[in-house]
Amino acid sequence: MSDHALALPALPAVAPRRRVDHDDRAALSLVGPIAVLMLLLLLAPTAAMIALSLTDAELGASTITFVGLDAYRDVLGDRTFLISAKNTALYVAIVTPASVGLGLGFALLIEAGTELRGFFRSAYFLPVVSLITAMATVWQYLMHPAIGPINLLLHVVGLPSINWLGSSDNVLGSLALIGIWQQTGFDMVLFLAGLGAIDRTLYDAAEIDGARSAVDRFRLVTWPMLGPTLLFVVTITMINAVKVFETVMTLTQGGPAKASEVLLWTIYQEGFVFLHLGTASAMAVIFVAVLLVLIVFQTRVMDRRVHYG
Amino acid sequence: MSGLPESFAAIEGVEPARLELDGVSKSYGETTVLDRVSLTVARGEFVALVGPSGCGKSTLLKMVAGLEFPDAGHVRIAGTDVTDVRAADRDVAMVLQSYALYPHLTARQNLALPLVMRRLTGRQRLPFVGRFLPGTRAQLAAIGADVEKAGRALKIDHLLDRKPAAMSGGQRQRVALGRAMVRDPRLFLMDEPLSNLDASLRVHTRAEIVDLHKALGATTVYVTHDQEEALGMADRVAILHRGRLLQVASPEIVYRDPSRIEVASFIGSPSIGLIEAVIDDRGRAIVFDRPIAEGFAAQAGATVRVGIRPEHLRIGGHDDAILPARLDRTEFLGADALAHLRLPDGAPIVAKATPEIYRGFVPGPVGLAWNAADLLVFDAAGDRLRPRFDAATVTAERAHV
Ligand SMILES: Nc1ncnc2c1ncn2[C@@H]1O[C@H](COP(=O)(O)OP(=O)(O)O)[C@@H](O)[C@H]1O
Ligand SMILES: [Mg+2]
Repeated sequence: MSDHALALPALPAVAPRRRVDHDDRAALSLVGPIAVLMLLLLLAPTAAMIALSLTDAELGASTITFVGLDAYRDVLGDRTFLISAKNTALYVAIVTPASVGLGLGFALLIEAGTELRGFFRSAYFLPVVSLITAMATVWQYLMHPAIGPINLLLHVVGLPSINWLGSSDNVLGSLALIGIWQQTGFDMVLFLAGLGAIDRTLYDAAEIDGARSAVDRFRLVTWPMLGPTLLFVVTITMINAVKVFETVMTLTQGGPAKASEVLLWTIYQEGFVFLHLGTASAMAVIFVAVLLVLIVFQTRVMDRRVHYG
Repeated sequence: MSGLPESFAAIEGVEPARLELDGVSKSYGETTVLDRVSLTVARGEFVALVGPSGCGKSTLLKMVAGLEFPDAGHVRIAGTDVTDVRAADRDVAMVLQSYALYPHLTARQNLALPLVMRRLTGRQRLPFVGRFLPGTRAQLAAIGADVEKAGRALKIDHLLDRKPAAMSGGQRQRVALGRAMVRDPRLFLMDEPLSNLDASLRVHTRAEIVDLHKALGATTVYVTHDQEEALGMADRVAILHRGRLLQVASPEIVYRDPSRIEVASFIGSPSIGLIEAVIDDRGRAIVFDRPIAEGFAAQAGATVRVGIRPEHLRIGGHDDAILPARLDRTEFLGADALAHLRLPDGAPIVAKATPEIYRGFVPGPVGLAWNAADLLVFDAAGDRLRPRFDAATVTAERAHV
């Protein structure tokens, strides 16, 4: 804001000065409140977090000393954090393509069929509106090694039962399954909106041009026209996946043997269980930085490919 | 003009197809959009389908293209019944109302698309792999050459590598036209291709489309809501009104000899003046107690509507006047001028002449006169009433039928 005010005199004085001042003040009074709110609610906590990450702050300790980038060095060398980062990356790599793909598939099916459309729309959206902590208990029951219906079902068809959440080999996959269940409906609804916004006459043009099969129409019209939606859905899905926490918190607590240790869980433990505010802040800064890089990459690089206007 | 015919002489046209619509009807739920429309378009003919917005023109054209299917009736192209054949299998080219160019493809790719879809097999069209299948390269080269040729003919060769978003409305329109004609259509459909262009470009492109039709020779159905466009471009004009085809005839006939009152009102600008009259026991049409036309077989007491084209209405003194009127104002339009008048009951009516004729006219009482032969009279149902014993009209009627 002040930058703008300072830069003004340097501009060639085309318009009468008083007018410019007036417009400026109006602009300030309009932008002001929201700018102050953003400063207070978003930027200030971020700044505090960055500041804390440069100290050895511990909750309950009486002194705080500036330790520079020590916390970052510790974090990047910390085995738990590295496992956590790897697990999170794996979780994102499973959940994103699966829920985006399934969401698109369901959206296309719903769009193609006429009956039951409303039913499916709400059925698949259910996970989005249901409270994940409550649903997690349901999943715990479903995936229970002994009495869980999923294993019972496996037993009925003659397959060996699986230790879904209790084995370090399976736990991340099981969590990813729940993550996919959670995200697919949301992605589907976004895709439905995207499909609805496609200009119908393009399908007429495709038909006239000789696109006979559904595959041809999809390749020629649906897929390219869905580009902006796809970009948005992938971004949102990745961010949601990176932020996986509730299921870990309620079902596995990061275990067994750190096999479901994920970033937010690690940060939460470091900050609120071990009370190492400095280290937790450094982790959070790294976490946010990675998220930002992802978002910037997607909006800058991909945007150019999917918007044709 | 513009070397179009020459460029197209190189493209060997496919045999133009004859189009027959036979009692085609279509309803959406309760609303009947098309009501038993029958129309035959001869091979190579240019027919304009004209009517007010929402009368069913686009629906009818889509039915010919195979994008919509009739509830009743038949569509035949080149003698083959295609009523239930989908668009992709009809081999019909169409310029859609909004152009519907693929926004993610360049003009070149847009033009090539119908050729790629038709000339390459499904496997040849596979991404990456298709390229290496036998014959793909030769086909793609031929398609590229055809696209270049069409691009040159439409003078969009410099735009071929642009995407639609980077083009003006006129340029997009040409690309849409190119996409339709690049594959030598035997039947060419256009849905208001000029309605998004500004006035001067519209007049220019009108002439180009007529030239294009002459060069390609394809049977053409051209939809427009602009009666001037229809009259100026088409061999025959088909007037659609509320889903019913009212008259199909040459531009001159639909203007001079309309069969229905809706045709008379829709064709011509400014539109025809209509005066309500009552037939007396001697077969004369009476308005404000004065006989204004005679020789009608209608029953005494029947109400008729008497139509007078603006250019047939003469403004003079009171002595030779058929009807008294009031002149409100004159309007100078360049080559023409309009006189806005009011009949004794206050109903407005417009006269048209050269500006010299109206020079010095001032608002006030005037007399209106016309030649009885120029009147177009319609009965209460809107059908044309022709005076008996009128040799001129009888001849016209025979020619029409
Ligand atoms: N898919 C549809 N569903 C319901 N009504 C339709 C549909 N398509 C067209 N109509 C109706 O049919 C009428 C004719 O439409 P259209 O053929 O587009 O008219 P025009 O092209 O002459 O302006 C309009 O009243 C329109 O509302
Ligand atoms: Mg239309």
